[in-house]
Amino acid sequence: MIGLAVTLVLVAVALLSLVWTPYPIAVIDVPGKLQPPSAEHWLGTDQFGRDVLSRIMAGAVNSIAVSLVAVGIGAGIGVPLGALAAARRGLVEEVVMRFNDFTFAFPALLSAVMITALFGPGAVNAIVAIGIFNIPVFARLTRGAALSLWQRDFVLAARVAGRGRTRITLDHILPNIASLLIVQMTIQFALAILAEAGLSYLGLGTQPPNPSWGKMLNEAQTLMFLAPQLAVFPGLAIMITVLGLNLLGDGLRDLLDPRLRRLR
Amino acid sequence: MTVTAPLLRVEDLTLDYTLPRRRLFEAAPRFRALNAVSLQLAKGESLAVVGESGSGKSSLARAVLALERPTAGRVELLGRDVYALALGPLRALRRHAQMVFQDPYGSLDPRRKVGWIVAEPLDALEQGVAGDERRARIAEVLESVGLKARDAEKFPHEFSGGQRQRIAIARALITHPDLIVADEPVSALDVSVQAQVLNLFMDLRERLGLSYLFISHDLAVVRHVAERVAVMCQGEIVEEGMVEEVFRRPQHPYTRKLLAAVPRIGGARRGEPAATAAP
Amino acid sequence: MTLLSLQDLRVTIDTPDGPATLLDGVSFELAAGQSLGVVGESGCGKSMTALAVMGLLPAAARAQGQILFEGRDLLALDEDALCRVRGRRIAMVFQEPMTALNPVKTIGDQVAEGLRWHLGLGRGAAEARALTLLQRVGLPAPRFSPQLYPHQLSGGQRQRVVIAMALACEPALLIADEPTTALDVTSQAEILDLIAEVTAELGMALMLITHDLAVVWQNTAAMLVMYAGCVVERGATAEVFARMAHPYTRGLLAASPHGLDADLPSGHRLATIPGQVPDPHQRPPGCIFAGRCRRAADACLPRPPAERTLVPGHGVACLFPHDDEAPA
Repeated sequence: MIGLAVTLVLVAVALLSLVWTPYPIAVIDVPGKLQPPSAEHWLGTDQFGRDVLSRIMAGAVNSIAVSLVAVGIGAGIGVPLGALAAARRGLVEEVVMRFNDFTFAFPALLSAVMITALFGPGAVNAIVAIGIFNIPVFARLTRGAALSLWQRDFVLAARVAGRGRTRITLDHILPNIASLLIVQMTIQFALAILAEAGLSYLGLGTQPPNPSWGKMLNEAQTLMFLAPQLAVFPGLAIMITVLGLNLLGDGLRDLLDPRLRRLR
Repeated sequence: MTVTAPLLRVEDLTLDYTLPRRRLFEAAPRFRALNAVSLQLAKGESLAVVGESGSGKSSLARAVLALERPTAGRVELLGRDVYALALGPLRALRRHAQMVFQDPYGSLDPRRKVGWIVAEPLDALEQGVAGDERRARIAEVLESVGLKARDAEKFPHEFSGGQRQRIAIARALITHPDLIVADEPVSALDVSVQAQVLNLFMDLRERLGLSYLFISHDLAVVRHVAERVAVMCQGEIVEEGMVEEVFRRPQHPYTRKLLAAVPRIGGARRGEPAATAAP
Repeated sequence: MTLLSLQDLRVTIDTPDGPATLLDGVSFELAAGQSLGVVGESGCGKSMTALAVMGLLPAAARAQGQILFEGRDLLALDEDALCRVRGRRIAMVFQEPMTALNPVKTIGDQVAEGLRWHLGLGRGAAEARALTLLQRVGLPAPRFSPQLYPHQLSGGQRQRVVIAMALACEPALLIADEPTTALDVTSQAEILDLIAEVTAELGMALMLITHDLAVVWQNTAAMLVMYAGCVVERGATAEVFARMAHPYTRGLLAASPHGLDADLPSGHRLATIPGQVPDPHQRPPGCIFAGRCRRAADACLPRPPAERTLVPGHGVACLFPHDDEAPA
């Protein structure tokens, strides 16, 4: 379970940063700016002389929290909607799917800009904005997979057994699409980190001096040739996180599948 | 005919499927899967429905179990019109009619243990059966189909096709129904397994006094499990009678065509006389 | 003239539970223009034999022995050379006509594809030939346009398209793997008629794989009975049916509802074969069928029985074969 280990380490680092970081994250030290990695500053310092390792640790909190909650909102609302559409068909399905089309029709980031412009910048509004645009992704995926499951004989058997739609959805449909949803969640998580980065870059996400990985990446962009390590380390952090979550997703999927459980 | 109501009475059952619209403002085309089908089944009697794919035989199976809403006509189970019943009484009636499907791989939820699968109709239809009583019912029904009580703790993928079909039969039996609708229950199985499952159907019928509505495309299979047969073609029953009679003296040209198409050992052969192939 | 000759073909496959033996010393010969039925239940190795001949074994499988086709050992050929044999000299018809066709290409294109690829025909020539082929398999042009897509056809019609594709390059061998199992009885009869006609017309050899003894009886001149990766009985079809020397062959016949019991009353129990096919990971050292065989004796257990010839052309791998007439 490498995935679980990576994820746990990340969460631990993020929690640790709440009480302790090697250096304070907001203290500016202009003479010591843009240092390469050294014994004092393991990952070097940025253009204001702030310790990169400390900022990555603190950024983990923002990036992971924003993305997890956003994906949670998307899945939490999208999955029930999709399952409902597949179970009821007819008018309910039409309404749900047209709502999805409506949401999908707006470029996600642009709409997120709109939402934060309306309700003010900040991490919470960024979460809501990213979350809303995750809803149709999960609703569609759930509906599509659920529809094909509703055609299966074991669902028909459950109907013969006198099960209602809700019970069938809970007992048969959702457990059988769980693996699909988990994989999609890890993908959406990576996208959410990037979306948060975009919003933060525009000044609409995490507010300075609080760091987030996305924001660090964007800030490093202009210094790409001068100090490439500034982009490399937050990038690595994102990569390792996404990889860890993907592995975790795969592990969970196998764990949930009784056919694969025996082989482990 | 007896004075008591038959177990199953189907009257003028017509079922249309709506196909996808070809153009936006055009009436959706319809396909008539069942056209005024009528049949009766007395308690303890078995009726086979044979026909080719697209003949409407599977639609009939579903309509009988109130899984499809017909366009016209009625289905009476134990004297009660299943389409006139509210959800509650319909659920109560479901105890008396259960179904076995063709594909033993598709009809069992891969994520549930056998005990859960087999008990699903019990949990849904006979609330209050729990704990030891529920365990005993599961064990009893698994043993009645030739499985072991401890198989309840396994998952479907640990079983072969024939054993899976036994699990599906056990699920259909657990509420002690009067009628089993079996939709091609052996056509996905190997010859020797097919024989075992067919024998099981016959044994269970004798032991439990079951009635079967046995759907099949294979006339040879039908002869073993039913005394009456109805031949379906394009949504209609074109011939109905005692199995032996229909086999010996088929009346309808379609029945004759079906019978002639079945390959028989010892029957006519294609191609040239035999040559050797030994190494 | 021998077209295809398998010599002691062994196929093992690596699984998480260790190596599994799928084919255990399969040998047979098929002469040009001949028909051979291969009968057995699922897992007996009949489809694996076909895949081995086509060079389409799964990646984890290892094959030993020889598959001589037109004098060349197919197991020794590289993928490029195999591609020139596959489709060109050996063609295959599969069980499921829907998945054997590409749903987004027209039937005309799919038939023409092999002609352009293997024979190097130009577009126009290939299309014209495809039209003739579709007509030959009973899908004549105005009614069945080559512009149709697979989903617009019935199962039997799709199988005709698959046969047209197989015929395209006039191969020397046609392998039909359960070609009618997914079809209705009336379509089955038509498709088997068609296969018999075209193989006779083009002088193709036919390897017909099926689980249905009646189909073998009706359509082939010679037959193999396979069980758990071994050939247990072989010979001229009429000869094998007259004798049914191997206990497994008799078991299959007795279990078949298509058998000989035309006058048995309704409710009659079918004979069954007790037990299960042995686990391919742990095959018994002796006769592979002994565990389920009513005639098995101690002599069957130490080593597999050698195949013995009952009459010329009729072999059986059994120490105690039935020597009375089959219950015909």
